[in-house]
Amino acid sequence: MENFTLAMPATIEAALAAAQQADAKFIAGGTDLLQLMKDNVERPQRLVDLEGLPLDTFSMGADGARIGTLVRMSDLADDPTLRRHYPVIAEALLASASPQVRNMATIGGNLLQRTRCGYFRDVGFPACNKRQPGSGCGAILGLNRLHAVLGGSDYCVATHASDLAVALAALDATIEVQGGNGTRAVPINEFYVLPANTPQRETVAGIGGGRRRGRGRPDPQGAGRDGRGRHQAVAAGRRRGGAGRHDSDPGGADERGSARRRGRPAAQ
Amino acid sequence: MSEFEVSRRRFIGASAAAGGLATASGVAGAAVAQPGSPPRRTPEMIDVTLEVNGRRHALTVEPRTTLLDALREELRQTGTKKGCDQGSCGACTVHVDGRRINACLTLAARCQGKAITTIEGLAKDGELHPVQAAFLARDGLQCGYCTPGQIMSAAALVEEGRAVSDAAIREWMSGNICRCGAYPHILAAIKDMAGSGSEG
Repeated sequence: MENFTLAMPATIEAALAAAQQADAKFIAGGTDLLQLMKDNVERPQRLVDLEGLPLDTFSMGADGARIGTLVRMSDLADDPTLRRHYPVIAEALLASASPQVRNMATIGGNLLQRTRCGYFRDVGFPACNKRQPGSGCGAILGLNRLHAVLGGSDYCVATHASDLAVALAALDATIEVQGGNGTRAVPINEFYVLPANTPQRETVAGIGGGRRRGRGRPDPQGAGRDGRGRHQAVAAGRRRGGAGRHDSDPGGADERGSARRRGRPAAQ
Repeated sequence: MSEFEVSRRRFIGASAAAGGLATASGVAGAAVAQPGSPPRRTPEMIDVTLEVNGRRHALTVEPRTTLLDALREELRQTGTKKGCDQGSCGACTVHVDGRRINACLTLAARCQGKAITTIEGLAKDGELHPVQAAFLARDGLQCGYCTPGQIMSAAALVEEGRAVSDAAIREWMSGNICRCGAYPHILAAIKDMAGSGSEG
């Protein structure tokens, strides 16, 4: 993987500030990000280490569960209170990855992991609208046994790999996203964005691929839950402007944005 | 090995060097060009002290250096293996602060202050760890490449109290794969271990 600088901020505020720098990404467990970096799908110049920040607690209240973004998957799956009240979350977690990965991976990182579509993860394959908007989609007419039958588009049929996200969606969880502009609560079923003609964007908080010239990449991570049947997640991350709409590249300074507005179809 | 024996790795390395061949480490992120020479320091490099098997090692690594590469290339502790290098095969399984993890997906620079145990650290005072003894007794290996990771995972699994049934053992060892197919004997070894431990 390419080299980068590693920042280890001591506070959430410092982490948010560090993530403002150009081409910065948060790293928590790192189990997905490091794979992406080894494959050159992600090439951040700066990593902001979230470990040690006070986002790693799970608690049950009268209103329900609140899960910190940095809680390890294995710890949450093993928690007797969680298992008693929300066994589907434990089942989803235990169906994921491996014991070793679950000991490293965090709840937030699991929710923000990138698709495992083989075309997306292979930078040697040219056609991937998620990696390179406008380049086409190899999966639509290619190997797509694990791809979407619902919610896909002519641009992208990639699926989300997280079993935990499915369980939380069934529970109507809420994700609490914290960024430079403050904190907002997003129902999980509004958090993820369908590909439509902008598959490079995956969440309303701006996670997604593509390189933004000269600008830091928003990369919120983390999840905490609160509220009976309505869970709130705490995520540290950058939040670009435009509340209530997709955080697309503003101003058209990005050539991909221009291509989208001209309605150029994905090359096949 | 006795003190009079040379490991195959050292012999091949020495022969290659004598014959003028470069023994390329071939690893991105390894800071040391040749053993014994100081690392070429770039501004981004990080000083980290790794505590491995109870001993502390002061290293200077690039941020991208994985724990796996630091163990193998910097510390020359090659018991931990690189299989897939992407967290799928488990050959790189080590213990960090008592938990089994994949060293290939761990950045060495983030391991300051953590207690790391590798396969080299399982045996104490020349005594095999019970897991190691069980693997030998049950012939739980063929080529041996996955074996350090299998043993590290199995040791943790028994500590975690997961070895309650054959199905549970298979499930909780699912992060370690074996191309040779030694699974039946690996399962038997773990059952032996769990049987002796659970009655304690």
